Amino acid sequence: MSQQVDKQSSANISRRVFLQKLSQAIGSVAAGAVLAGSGMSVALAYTPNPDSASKAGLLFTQKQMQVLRDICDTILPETDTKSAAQVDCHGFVDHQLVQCHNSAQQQNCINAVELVANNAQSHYKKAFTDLDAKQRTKVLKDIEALKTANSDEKGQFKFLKSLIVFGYFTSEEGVTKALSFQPFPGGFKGSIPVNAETKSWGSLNYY
Amino acid sequence: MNEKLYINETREEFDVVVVGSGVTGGWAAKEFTERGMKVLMIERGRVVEHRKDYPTEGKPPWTFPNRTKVNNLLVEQQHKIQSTCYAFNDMTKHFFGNDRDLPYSTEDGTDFWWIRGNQLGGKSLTWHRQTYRMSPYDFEANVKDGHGNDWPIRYNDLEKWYAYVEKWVGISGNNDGLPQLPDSDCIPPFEMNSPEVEAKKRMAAAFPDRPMIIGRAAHLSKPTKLHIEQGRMMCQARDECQKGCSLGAYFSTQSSTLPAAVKTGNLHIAPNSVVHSLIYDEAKNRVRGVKVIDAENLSTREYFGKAVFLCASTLGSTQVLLNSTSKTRPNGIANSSGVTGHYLMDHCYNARAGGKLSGWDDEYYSGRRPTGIYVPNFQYKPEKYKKNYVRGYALGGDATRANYQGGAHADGIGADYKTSLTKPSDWHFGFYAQGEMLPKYENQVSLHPTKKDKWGMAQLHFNTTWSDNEKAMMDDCAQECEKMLEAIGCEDIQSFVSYKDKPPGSAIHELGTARMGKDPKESVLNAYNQSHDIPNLFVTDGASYCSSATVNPSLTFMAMTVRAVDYCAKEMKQGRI
Repeated sequence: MSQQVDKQSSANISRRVFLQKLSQAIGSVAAGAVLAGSGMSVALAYTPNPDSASKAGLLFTQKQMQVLRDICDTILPETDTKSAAQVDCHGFVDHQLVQCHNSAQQQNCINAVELVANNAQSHYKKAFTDLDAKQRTKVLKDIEALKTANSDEKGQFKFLKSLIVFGYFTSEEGVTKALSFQPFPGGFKGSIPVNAETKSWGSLNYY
Repeated sequence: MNEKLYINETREEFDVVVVGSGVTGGWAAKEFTERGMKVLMIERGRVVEHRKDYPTEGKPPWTFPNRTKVNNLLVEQQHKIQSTCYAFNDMTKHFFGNDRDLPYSTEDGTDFWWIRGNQLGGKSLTWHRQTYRMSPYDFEANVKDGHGNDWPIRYNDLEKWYAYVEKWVGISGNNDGLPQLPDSDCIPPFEMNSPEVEAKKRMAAAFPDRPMIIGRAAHLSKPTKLHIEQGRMMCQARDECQKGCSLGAYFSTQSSTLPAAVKTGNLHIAPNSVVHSLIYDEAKNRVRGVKVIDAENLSTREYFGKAVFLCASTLGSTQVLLNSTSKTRPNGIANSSGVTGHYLMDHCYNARAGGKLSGWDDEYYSGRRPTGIYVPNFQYKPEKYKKNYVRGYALGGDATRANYQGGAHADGIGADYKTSLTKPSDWHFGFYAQGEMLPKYENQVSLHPTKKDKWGMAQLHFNTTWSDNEKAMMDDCAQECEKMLEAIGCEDIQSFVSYKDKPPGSAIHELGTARMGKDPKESVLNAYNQSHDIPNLFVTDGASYCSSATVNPSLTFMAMTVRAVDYCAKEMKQGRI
């Protein structure tokens, strides 16, 4: 059973595979009928954004975008899946803050980025970008441990972090690789066995 | 688009004009057309065709620029009220009204959230699909405890109609054999997960009078021949529902009643037609049809029928009733009782509680189940009422495993943190309240004396508040939920009440305002949803309710609609209408 789950986790979500799954579930004639003229048939095309730390964002300056990029890379680094920076979470955060959040929340996130930059300077006399991975991790962990931040500042950082996490796990990489994408579950099963390697479902569409 | 189906100008006199295309409008159209009668269905919004007009179905979150969240300026300017609905997001917003175009007012110190679904299919596209019969106790509650008027019907009057609509709709669930929740004619239930199965056992031991069942939902867990003939398929547990489901796996007008009505060849639809008022023949005391304003160019036109069924939603139907006046009937042509607009109800969903459950680390679930667990109202008769309030509440809920959405707020930086977010985390068990709201004369919707909308219709003005009864019920519910969660074995239990934040309307179960009753002096409709004042006028949506009960109302207004159609068709045949 767990093998089945793993198989689903690496499922390719191309239209061909989607159609295949649909056909398996309801028959190919019915699947053709369902998809003909349905919004589903054109729903699977998307081009990810290029890296956006090289220029100023909608909200952040270019310098801040670079720090934000490195924050993304430190919180959710590259493992067996891409890092948050590699899927342009910094670009997402910049865009999302302007689109969906109020000016106080936007300012909180600018403050959080500046706090990280300042803490790097005051502890290492270096830009956050110029720190190695260990040092970057320590700068961020110290904020969460309230060593280099007060509780308001920590709150601002945690809000920024939650946006990065949301951005990553709603990105194509996050949904289909880091998590287990199940666009077509084929019905509901109340209990399936899992082990320590099983990934959680990546198909939830909400905050 | 079927040119013969959709019409604009016509002088034809139809057998029946059905105002609205949601759950009740769809049923009325199906039932009349299948009896060979010519029906005009009038819809104020645009046409939405099954499959073709579900543009966001199957789109994963990363294909939405804001990852399914709606732009905040757009929300502020056009969807401030609609965005309070749990189902409102960037994937579903085209099935919600635009608040800028649909203004209404509220009395100072009161609030009301009015969620709209003005398109073909109405809110049948976006409903939550929970389907329960009202019980014999529910129909007797008003007369037994003295709140509201006596329902003119009893459970027995609706029983066969419940079974009739259930077979067609497809209700997943069990036969639970409970006095407070009559069994439906069900197709197989969705499964409980293991913690829910265990919680059910522990609840049965600690609270034998509070049985926990799997929620009944209008989803095809296993389609019958009747459903397959409708063109519907098995639910795949995708949770695409409110974007529209091309499989027709849940009941909507588009998936179910509309194709049946279209197949008869007796249906026409007038979309983009905002009903202004009923056309009234004072000499004959009959309605002759409706006056309509074009939703797009604001021109006016008229449609004629031998009978009119108002199925325009509780508040939509009442707005038309109040806006239909004559010289001798300035307060409404069907309002000799004076109670139209009064006794507005909703359900009170303003208590919730949750906690962490240990165990089952090696179990998960697969798919996104379209229902949860359900604890039917266990205070269903006066002997079971609490001391400080009357009536009761049902509970919805479920057990789920936490994921990155919870982990996003935990401390942690780096690879281990990232890996932890990819794994299913602790089990949580939650309950939320579905409380009954009492019918009260003071809770009223009326036409605003001066404010009009862009179609020139008088805006609705709301004066509705939660009473002390609902507040006491929610306070009690939150405490009881904590006790039940303890019995289930939860830790870190927390409970909340939210009646200060979420006003009436927030459960999107608006009911009453044109209530049924035996006495024409204190009710608008008789036992067949027929106007006491005008024999060829019917209202079969939630406006007709005398009490809200605790169960989700859609199934009951489906049953009342088909019963009213049956009655009306027979009366027309006999020449009495």
